[in-house]
Amino acid sequence: MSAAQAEGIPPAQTFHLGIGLQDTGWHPGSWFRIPGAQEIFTSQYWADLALAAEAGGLDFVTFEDSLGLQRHGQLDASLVASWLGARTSKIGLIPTLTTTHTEPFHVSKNLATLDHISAGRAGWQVEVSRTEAESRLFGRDRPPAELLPEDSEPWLAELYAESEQAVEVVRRLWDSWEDDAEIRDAATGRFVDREKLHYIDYQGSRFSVKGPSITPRPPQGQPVVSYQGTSEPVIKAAATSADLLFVEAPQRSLAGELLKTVRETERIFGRSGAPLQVYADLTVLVEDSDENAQFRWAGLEEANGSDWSPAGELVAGSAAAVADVVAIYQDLGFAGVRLKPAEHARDLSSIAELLVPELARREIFTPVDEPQQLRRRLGLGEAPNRHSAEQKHHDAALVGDAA
Amino acid sequence: MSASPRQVILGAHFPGVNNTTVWSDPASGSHIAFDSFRRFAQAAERGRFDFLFLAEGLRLREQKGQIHDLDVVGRPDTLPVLAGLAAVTEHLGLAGTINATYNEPYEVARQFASLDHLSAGRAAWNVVTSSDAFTGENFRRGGYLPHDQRYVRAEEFVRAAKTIWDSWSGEEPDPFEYRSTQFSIEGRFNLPRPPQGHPVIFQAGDSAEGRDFAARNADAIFTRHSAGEEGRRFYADVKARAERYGRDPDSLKVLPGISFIIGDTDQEAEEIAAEVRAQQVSGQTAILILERLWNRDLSGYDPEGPLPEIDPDPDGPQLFAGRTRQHDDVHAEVATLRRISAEQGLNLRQTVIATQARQSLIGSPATVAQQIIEAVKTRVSDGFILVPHITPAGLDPFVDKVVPLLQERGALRSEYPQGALLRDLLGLGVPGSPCGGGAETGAQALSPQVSLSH
Repeated sequence: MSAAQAEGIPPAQTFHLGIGLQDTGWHPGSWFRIPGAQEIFTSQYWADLALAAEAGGLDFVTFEDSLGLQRHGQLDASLVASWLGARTSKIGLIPTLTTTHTEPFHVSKNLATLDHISAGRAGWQVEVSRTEAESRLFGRDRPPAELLPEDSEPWLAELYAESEQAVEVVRRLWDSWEDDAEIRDAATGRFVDREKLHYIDYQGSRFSVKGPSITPRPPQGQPVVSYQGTSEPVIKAAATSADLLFVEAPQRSLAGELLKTVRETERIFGRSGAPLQVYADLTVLVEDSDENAQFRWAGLEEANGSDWSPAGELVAGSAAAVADVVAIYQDLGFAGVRLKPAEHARDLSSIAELLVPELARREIFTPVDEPQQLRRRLGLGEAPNRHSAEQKHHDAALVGDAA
Repeated sequence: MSASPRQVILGAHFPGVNNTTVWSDPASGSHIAFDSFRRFAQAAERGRFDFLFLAEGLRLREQKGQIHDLDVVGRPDTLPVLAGLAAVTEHLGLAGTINATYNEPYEVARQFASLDHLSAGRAAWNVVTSSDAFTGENFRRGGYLPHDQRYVRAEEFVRAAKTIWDSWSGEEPDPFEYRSTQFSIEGRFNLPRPPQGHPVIFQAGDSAEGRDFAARNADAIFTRHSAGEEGRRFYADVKARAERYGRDPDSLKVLPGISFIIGDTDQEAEEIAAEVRAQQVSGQTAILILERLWNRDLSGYDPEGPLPEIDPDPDGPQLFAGRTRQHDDVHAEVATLRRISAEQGLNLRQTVIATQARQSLIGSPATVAQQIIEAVKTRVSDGFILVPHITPAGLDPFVDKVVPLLQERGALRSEYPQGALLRDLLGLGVPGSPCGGGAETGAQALSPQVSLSH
């Protein structure tokens, strides 16, 4: 029996379920099966998806994004998430924001504001811009692709090292206002206590940022930070900087190995605090029977004109079949799975209405039914402000001296 | 219908981080919580306003090397707030200030296109520039821009954004390219053309360069010239500039920012206005305002005593950062203060209160409605951007008492037209759809269509 159980505290929900959204769905054939695919550029389209996920009690949704053109185009994910922050009340909202051509100062206040709008449900999926095409959108030079191919390890190492610095700047800016900095003290005429606003004075090889932020500390203190990928630079960046990591295991037999690599990387780089929560990405198509699932999958392949398979595991089947696979990842020691629906138009509702009840029945997942901050929901614990913590430490030391 | 007065354009400025905003009032709520913005926006929509307006600052202001703490400090990020408001309003335009110095055209074009799609055509961008290294310290490239290049960058930035917005033909992305003195960018955009074609462009800046920038590029000017002959001169000047660039002067709207006080009677409004001015200018704030003008430490002076006898030091090291200079001739301004103080027997704080009072709409609902209709009729402005002094309820008295009178007089819509774009509300045309594949060079873009001679 664990200490928590011994004290009568209910065990924290330990297995989590998120949904990864990308335009019309992860199967490229999904694009051709929507009558007006331009719908993906309307707020109503995203509202329908997020509200379906929320109604299903999922922990969070992530929003893929890139600055450049991929597939069919994409609204700015952070603004989609802010729009949804005002229309949803329970689900975590994790947009992709890139770090290669953006300013950490802007990224920091953008996500802090999403956290204010959503009452503490904000997260960040950190991505980089690796292509020459994206550099040209900003008129910036990139090493020639023949010297540093887009997916080469040294190039990724450089991009992700920069992203680690960006995350560090963003985190320091989130802490640059202490929670009680706004005092509105009519007696002294002061709106803020300037002792509780902090310059970050960050000097890195890629950025120098003065601070403080213009936006007060977000409700969560530190919104949830995540990376996705399985390359060495990604795992290193996540192990040193993030709360969550999404991985696509090329074969299920390698998934356990991936987890070991993550833990080893954490040890090498001296991660302190809670271990990284690792989520398995699972591409899913859910129907009421395996036959209907196979039938719909065949329709997607036909619409696409060629066979398609994701980098990670794929399950197209009944809720029971998909739940069987989810249970395997739970047993392997993953913190949760991120479901990537093959076809949003159908799978958001089939996940919410068929899969989630099946997982709940097996006591694998407990649907969310009340507003809660995302950190708390995921069991990440409070994020104390580094400045407040320092102060308390300092005060404690003084008390110690006096004694 | 011919008896109807000219239609009045109304904007609602969410109260900002200066001493116009009275945070000490018991009715004053959060400047950060989304509920404040929601409530403010919904009041504006109830009042059939054209748009809501957000300012921006990219570094907390400082005085004498310390963060300024007497006014409201801090604000949420402009674009996420506007995206959130798009979800809780249906018709209201959503205008945000975004700096052209510390951003890149592709990203800003994409953000405003996204906002325009999410709001079904209600986005507006107030283009501002800055050149100070102080703000640049928050950005990766330092960001210092020579003062005389601010509007060059702003203009090229806006043209780059328009090129990007225009780059899809129908449902397909075509390559775009934009080359100028500041930018050399190319690629394919990942969003279809925004519902408005181009989100509405605002400009706020009084210099000749700023006015020319607006005349060439903007749909509306946010100005402080709000009354009388001065307002009419400004109005005529920018409309003439627009014509010189080959534009219909009506396609450039002049919108002064203005504070307001509504009372049951004119006299009651004047009394409230005097109280509010006193709240806006505490003794500390009065000293601070003079320190900004003098560029000297005046903390040893008594706000209830006489004006400082020492001379200002405008050319000394700058004590204040993160704020635009408001006076061109400091010595003349100080002489004016001394004269007013002597003539009216006012102490330091009273002098500041007497001279800081901005042109305001003060009076009974009928008086204020009449002032607005008159200003629009006599071409002082095309409408106003109202700046309340209380967050978030400050707009309510105007909406409840003045708006019905404007509607009765036929100067303001009673209902929004169904599915209207912000451009429709403002009486602006929708930019024609190009054939895609935009390519432009800065050199061509910057030549006026008619040569200037003055």
